[in-house]
Amino acid sequence: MKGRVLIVDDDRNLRVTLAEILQSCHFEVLEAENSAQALPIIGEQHPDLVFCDWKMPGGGGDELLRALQEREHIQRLPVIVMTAYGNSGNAIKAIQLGAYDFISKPFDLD
Amino acid sequence: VAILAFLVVAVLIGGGVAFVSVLGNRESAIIEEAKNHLLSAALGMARDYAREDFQAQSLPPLENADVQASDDVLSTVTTGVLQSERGSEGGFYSLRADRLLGYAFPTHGGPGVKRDIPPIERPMIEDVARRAAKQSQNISYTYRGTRDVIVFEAAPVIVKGNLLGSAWAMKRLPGLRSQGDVKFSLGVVGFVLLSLVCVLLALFVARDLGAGVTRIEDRLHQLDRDLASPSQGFNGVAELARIYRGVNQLAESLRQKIEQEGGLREQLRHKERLAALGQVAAGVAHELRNPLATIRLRAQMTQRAVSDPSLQQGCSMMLEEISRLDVMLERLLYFARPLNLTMEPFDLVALTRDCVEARRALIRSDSVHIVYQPGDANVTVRGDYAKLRQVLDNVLSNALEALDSGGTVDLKVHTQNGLATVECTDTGHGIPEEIRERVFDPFFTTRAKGTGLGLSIAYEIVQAHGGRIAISSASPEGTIVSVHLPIEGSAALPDMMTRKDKS
Repeated sequence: MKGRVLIVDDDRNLRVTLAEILQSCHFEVLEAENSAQALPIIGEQHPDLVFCDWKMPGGGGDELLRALQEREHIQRLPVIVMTAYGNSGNAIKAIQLGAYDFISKPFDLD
Repeated sequence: VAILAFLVVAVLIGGGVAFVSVLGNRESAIIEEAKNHLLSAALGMARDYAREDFQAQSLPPLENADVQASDDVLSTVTTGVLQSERGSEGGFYSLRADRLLGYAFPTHGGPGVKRDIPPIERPMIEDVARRAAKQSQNISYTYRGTRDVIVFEAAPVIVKGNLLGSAWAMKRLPGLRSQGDVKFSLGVVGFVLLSLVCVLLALFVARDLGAGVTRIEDRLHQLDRDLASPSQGFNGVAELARIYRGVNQLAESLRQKIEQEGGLREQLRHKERLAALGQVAAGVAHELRNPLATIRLRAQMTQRAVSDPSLQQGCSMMLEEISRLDVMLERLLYFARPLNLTMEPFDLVALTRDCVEARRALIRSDSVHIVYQPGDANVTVRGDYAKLRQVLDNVLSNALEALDSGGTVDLKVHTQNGLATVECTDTGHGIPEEIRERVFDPFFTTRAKGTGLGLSIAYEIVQAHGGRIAISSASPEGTIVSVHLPIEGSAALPDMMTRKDKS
């Protein structure tokens, strides 16, 4: 296994698809529907990377980033934000909140 | 006005008649008064003669042949009576001697008492006195000369039943008919002339006023039908000309206001549509992009997994359509985002040239031409270079697409009234009048593969620069798209504020 990746997205199909792609690349994949679910998983299973949707019912990407900033020991966990708005305002906000990178949906397989 | 003029004439004529009759009445009243006074003087003289105790004498004056003595005695009687009648003169007439006696003019202004009967009036005096004596009754006579009026009165002198002669008195009434008449006539003539002049003046002014008011009335009716109708010159009363000009100015400013308001309403309508679209766009884009992400990933995974060429081609088509949808969503999101302009001065002529050159490189057909001949002068505008280039690119690509089987797109940059204008004229199929206004509406397109967003985005960008984009028909066919932008340093178009927040 190359590493452990957490996918946080409310869209089940997208989650499953991403998981399939990552698993085919030999990553261990964890899934969560929103940031409320993601936080305990991060605390218990220590993923190496998080893919996180920006807007989700029950806790969006911004909430996850804020919660992570408060916990110093996992502050360095890289979070890649995925958004459907494709708008630089959101990207800047995400980076300011500590996101590692930012990708716009719909993204390419490559 | 005619009635008014008529009334004025009537009043003037009435006044004239009244004036003449008052003067006439005054004259006859004076004459009548003089007659009464003279008659009572003559009667007084006759009475005084009878009262005097002339009968005691052997020969009373009127019966005496000694004329000289009688004359003296009688003139004292005359003087006694006429002393109190200013301007009157008189005397006696002896029937027996058939001559005038005892003449006196006691109030004559000269030195001493005047004793000579005025020679010109003598025949008249004799006639009146004689008739009074012979007919034994009071005789009255009024002589109207060219210069004055002379009133004569005579009364018979009867003593104890014997008719002895008569007493007479006369008075000149100068100035009544002489200067008075001349002045009076002149006054009347002057008055009538003045009245005529007034009436003519009134008629003249009334006619001019009437004509002027009619012109103004006609103009108001004309403006009521069409505010933009051209105004003709106004010849006539200066005051009315001022009103006429005022009416025209009012109409012009009213027309401009209405036009401006129309333009503002159109802008507001467009803004409202875009604002509503922006809200919908944000929601729709988010909802669509999540499933699109899954679809694209799955299509790509499938494409890699299969080896059958027809399945592979199917996946390619799916991916192509997904990209198209994504581009459309991207454009749609344009309206959901704040328009952040990076304002900087740049040369509009150079920007146009850059756009034209970039496009020319893409033209594959020999029958399609772009004509652009920039002048020497720079036209500096202040704006967002990248966004305005997007606008011109869009306008240019629309124009090129309108040229189905070849043609020319002609670009010009010119300046007027503080506005720089890029005018893009194509020889294409043109835009029907009825849909011309809608081409700036989002999603309105006449092309099978268009999103209908290009021109509405261009509209937004130009508006945010305080400019205006307009579309009109070229002749004989084709379309002209004009992009107007404020020149650097000049005030922006009124009422076109920069979009500051998310619309």
